[in-house]
Amino acid sequence: MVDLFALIGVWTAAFLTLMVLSFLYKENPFYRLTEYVFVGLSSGYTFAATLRLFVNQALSPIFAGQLEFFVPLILGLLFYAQFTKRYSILYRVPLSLAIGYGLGITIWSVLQAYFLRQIRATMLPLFTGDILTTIGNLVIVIGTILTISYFILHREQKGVYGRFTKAGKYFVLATLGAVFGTTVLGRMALIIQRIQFLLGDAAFPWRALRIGTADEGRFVPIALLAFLIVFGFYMYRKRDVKPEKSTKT
Amino acid sequence: MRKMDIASDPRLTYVLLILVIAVPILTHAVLPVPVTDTTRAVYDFIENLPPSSLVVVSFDYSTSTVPELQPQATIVAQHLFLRPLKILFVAQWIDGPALTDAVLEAIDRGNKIYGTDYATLGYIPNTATLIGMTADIQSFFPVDTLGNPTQNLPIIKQFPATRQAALVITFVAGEPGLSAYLQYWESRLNIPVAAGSVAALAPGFMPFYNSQQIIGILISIRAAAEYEFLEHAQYSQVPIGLSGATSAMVAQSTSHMLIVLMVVVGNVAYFVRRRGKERSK
Amino acid sequence: MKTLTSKEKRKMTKAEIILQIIIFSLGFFYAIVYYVRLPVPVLGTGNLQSAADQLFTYLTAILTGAFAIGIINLTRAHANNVKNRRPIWKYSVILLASMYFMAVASIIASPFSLDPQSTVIPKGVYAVFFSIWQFLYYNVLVSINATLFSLLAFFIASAAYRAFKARSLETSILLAAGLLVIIGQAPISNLIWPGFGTIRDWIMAFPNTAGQRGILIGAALGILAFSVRRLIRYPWGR
Repeated sequence: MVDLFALIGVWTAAFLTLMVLSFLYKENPFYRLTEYVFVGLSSGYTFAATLRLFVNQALSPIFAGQLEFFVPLILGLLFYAQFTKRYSILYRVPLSLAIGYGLGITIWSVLQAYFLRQIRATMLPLFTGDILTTIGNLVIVIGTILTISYFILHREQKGVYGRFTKAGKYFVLATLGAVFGTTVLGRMALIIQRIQFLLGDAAFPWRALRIGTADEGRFVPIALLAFLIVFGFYMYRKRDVKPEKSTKT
Repeated sequence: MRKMDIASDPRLTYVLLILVIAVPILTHAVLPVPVTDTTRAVYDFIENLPPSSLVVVSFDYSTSTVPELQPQATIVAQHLFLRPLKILFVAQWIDGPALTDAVLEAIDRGNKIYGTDYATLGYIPNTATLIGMTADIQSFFPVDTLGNPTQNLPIIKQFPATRQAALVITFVAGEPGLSAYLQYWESRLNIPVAAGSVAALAPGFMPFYNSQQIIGILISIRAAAEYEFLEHAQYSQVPIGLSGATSAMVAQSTSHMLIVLMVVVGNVAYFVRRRGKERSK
Repeated sequence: MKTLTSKEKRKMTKAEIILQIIIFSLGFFYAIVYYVRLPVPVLGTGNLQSAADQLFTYLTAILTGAFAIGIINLTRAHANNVKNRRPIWKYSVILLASMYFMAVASIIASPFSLDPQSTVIPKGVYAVFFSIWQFLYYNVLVSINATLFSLLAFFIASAAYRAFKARSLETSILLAAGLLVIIGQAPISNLIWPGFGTIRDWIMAFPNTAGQRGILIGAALGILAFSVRRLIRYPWGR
């Protein structure tokens, strides 16, 4: 059973998807429009989210009788001093509080999670009974040390030391290769799902994305056809418009 | 007439890519996906959690990475709802609560009751809240996303602080995300952490998996397909195709092979041209 | 134009000194509270850790005060475009209209609604705005955002032919690792040869882990050095 409101929603989503994809042919006003709509909608949503947080965490305690929250409330509103000329420096007060506590917790948290734990995990037995485990451990220990040496830049990387740092560079390149490989997986997943949607595939996760159901999805190709007509007409009209010649010599 | 080839006009490449993706989708082919150790680790950990354990699920991605992470979130959430667990949904990104609602609508919640077996607390705005809720949830989340006072929710009465969690699983596309849970929950309180990650970030999380700071990683849409096969094998009522990941695997394969082919052909053409130039010298 | 001498550059104003004291005191407090366990009554609480937790609630209240900065800045910039009739002024109108409309719809009926239980807003109004919000969010915002990011797939495909060339040993290593991982990730590779998956897993688990760990430790050292430097002195070159 096809729901009309859901069908309009599905057609709108399909049309907007195609407007964005039209960028692949050529930059055009359809694509630019979607950019501005996207920025507008996400900014509006973000404002509502942060307003709700302000009400919950700054205003609600005051209404519940915790009057000491007036102080954080006023300090928080000092952020808006940046829009005044005379008192603009006051906005640095709440910013300094945020920087201070951020730096403080960064020191112990980074030390623990990124430094000590990682060094501890690199302390592996170099010779074990199993040949594969031995090779793996050697790769990790030697690779980690060589990679760190590659980033020691206060000393010139030449001679015997230079050979070590060069080996470290190769580990970094292998890492970047792995990142490239997995990035391809991710990017392809993005376009595959978009194409699934445009083809109205029943296997597309309609409910998990709250874009109607597979029943409405069957009619998505109609939006595809409609967009091709509209876009084709626009490109046909634009073909006669020649770009202005530059008058510079 | 202007010569058109892949080198001079990238639009031909775009058409080729669309074709190698569209054809497998239209044929509805399904491919069995071998399960990787990193995915199996997450599945087994959840499967072996004691009854009534608290699991915190964190939606740390936005609408741009929905194709990669929403399938993971859907299939893992379904698994959690099939197990006798208590679940709290939170988010470090603003889009998290809306995406949580979409996932909860797509899965079968069985006989789990909102407020008793699961609750959606909403957005974690900053590090201070993330650290503070490990000591006291109610101070930092006085109401849930539906406006209910958290002090009245049975699940919060049972677990007043997230330090009691048996697992936190974060679906992460960037910062804030996994690093926050590792720094403030795992390293400080030894709360086990699992990650569902976008493909581009997964290599960066391998050191944490290797050092056992995270118990497992789900890597992009492929891990969602693997997880779906695992779950369907144990719980036959979970249909293949719930997350939408399995149907994408053939298209995933063909698109990957196209990239490999383009790199190989591009390099062959480069070396042939280079040899020709050297010969002419 | 007067150029500052090195002595003048290092002089801080009174305001900057006060701000630096704030940064140092709070930063030092939170840095040591993790390591120092003292049952000292502070701020009316039982110990240092409880005082730190209490201070967190005040800090979160302060930080949420910046809720309107983004919308104010965007309004100023785009209202300026409209006022001065810049070439893109029509797009600015659309941006402002969609921003305010979405803000209103989200405040009334979204997961961040100010009145989710309809105690003030009539249920009928809530229901209408909820449908509008759902439409704008799932059908418009999700579609545009997901498609914008999916454009990258096309650029990767184009770059695969034009740019990824094995010109030297370094690029060859990068390409080889990348291609082996790409092939190993494709589910069909298991049907061609199961070894592809094993190779991919090995690359991710060993050389990649070693390289990433080295980068992570280096980055951690950098972050620590920057944090300590920022705590104890004002940054140069302001």
